[in-house]
Amino acid sequence: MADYDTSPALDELLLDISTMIELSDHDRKIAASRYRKLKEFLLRPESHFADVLEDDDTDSAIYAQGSMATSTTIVSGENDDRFDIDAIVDLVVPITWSDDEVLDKLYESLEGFPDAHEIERCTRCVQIRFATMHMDVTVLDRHSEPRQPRTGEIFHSPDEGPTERVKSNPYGFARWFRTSVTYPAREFEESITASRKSLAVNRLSSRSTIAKVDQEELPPGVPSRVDAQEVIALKLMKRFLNLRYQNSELKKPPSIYVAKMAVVAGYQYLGLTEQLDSLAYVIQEDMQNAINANCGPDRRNPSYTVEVLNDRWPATNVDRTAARDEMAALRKSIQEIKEGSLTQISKMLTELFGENVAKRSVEATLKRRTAGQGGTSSYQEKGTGAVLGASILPAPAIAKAPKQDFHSGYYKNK
Amino acid sequence: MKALGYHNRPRKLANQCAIMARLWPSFDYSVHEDGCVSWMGKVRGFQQFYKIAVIWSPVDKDAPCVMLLDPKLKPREGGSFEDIPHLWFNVKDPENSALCLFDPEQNQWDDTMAIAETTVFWAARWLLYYEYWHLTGEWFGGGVGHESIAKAKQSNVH
Repeated sequence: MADYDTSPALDELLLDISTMIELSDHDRKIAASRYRKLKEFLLRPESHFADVLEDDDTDSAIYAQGSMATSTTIVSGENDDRFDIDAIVDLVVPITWSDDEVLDKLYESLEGFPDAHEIERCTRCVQIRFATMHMDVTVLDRHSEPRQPRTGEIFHSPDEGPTERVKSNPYGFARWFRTSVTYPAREFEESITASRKSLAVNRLSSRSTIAKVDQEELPPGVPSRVDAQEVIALKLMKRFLNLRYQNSELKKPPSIYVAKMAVVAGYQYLGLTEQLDSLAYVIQEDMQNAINANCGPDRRNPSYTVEVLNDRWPATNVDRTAARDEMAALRKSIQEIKEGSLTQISKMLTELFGENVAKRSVEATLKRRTAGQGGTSSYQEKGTGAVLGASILPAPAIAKAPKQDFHSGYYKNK
Repeated sequence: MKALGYHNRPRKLANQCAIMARLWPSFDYSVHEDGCVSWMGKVRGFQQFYKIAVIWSPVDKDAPCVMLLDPKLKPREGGSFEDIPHLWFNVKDPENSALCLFDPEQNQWDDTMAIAETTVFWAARWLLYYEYWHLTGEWFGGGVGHESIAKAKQSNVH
């Protein structure tokens, strides 16, 4: 029997939105080609890294980190289809290099990277900008063997002041994340597949050096998708934060912190809407506790506990209060749309995730629900009568009433 | 699916009540002074729940009538009740018009059918399309005849 606390229609809209903001398979393959190119490029004779990078045909030296490794890469904003990918260059930094030099040498070695529009040396990485994406390349000075897999130190190298080494294990975090989320039930997986088929967008053109890549398989540097409900909620949260902070002078919560909190929130059996609400709740609580303590939060990498995931955020109670209030606002909106009409939901989703995706998701759900009209009757949820756009509920929870035609006329008072 | 022979006979009130209680256990059942009975409970349109009343006379066994109790029927902004598609339109009290869920000329409902298996599900479908209509101004649920009283008037039918 249906649960009155579930939100199947809202879950469907949110799932569609997540599909629209994620990378399509085509996008992912092309993004993956950048990883491959990165290794080739750093192994050129004129690169500082030619002699220090292992050329062993494995992904051990260069691999995906961040959102690409956790399968949560999304496009950046409402009208901007850019997205970011992150790469780790995992090597033993020669003892002849000073810490201050490492990122400079990486910058010099990446100059002239194919298809790059611009290259910038940042505090912890070198950023390569392409037409519709950018890639942050970070050097990890690996710990000496025996080491915990892929642990090491990255370089925090600001324009002014000395470079500091920061202990890090992004590979371990991604692996922990991927094994900590709850893998989807068959019905949920089928809904995601259906949504992707109808809504996925290819953002990257197939021009220039990347055209042939489309036909190739993903290299090991880019893991397969993770379609857990926690992951979908995380994508939606990242989208929400992108839009809320796009005109703010404050720094938004780092994605790795939000990813950690997505696992802290745990799997919510009532569905995606509850999953997103739960994620907002744990961040809100985390911020409130940090406000009370006037420090923290101190969220660690579970695979390497010396690493503080949010070591650069939040800096002050202003950051904490802003994040807490954004989470409170999101939760309030979720509560409203759970009880709202489609008109109210449409308006609210526009505010939360942007007009384009909100409009397209409503159109998609309408199309699914009206697909059978005129010929067959609809599947409906037992106990609530809700018309289902896709078979997201197990068969025993679904009913089908006889076909009929709506009519109109005058009511005759007896 | 071919109906069982038993179900080709008119259903008694007890039978209707039993199926309602099984499929819609949260609905409240009442007997009225005029001999009509009603079941009141919530069904879902798109996401929102609506409290409806399903009213039926077990004596004359006309088709059951479905009214919206909460929230009440509402026209689109700037429109009128006559614009709302597929109603049994109540001229004296438009807000309390009933939902017109099937075509009586095609005998799409008769008293051999279970109200719980037909009328309540149809009402939920009607509510889904009502919400889409509120959002877009279009009725996507199909139907026969004129969509609304307003459209019928435009065609000088009524």
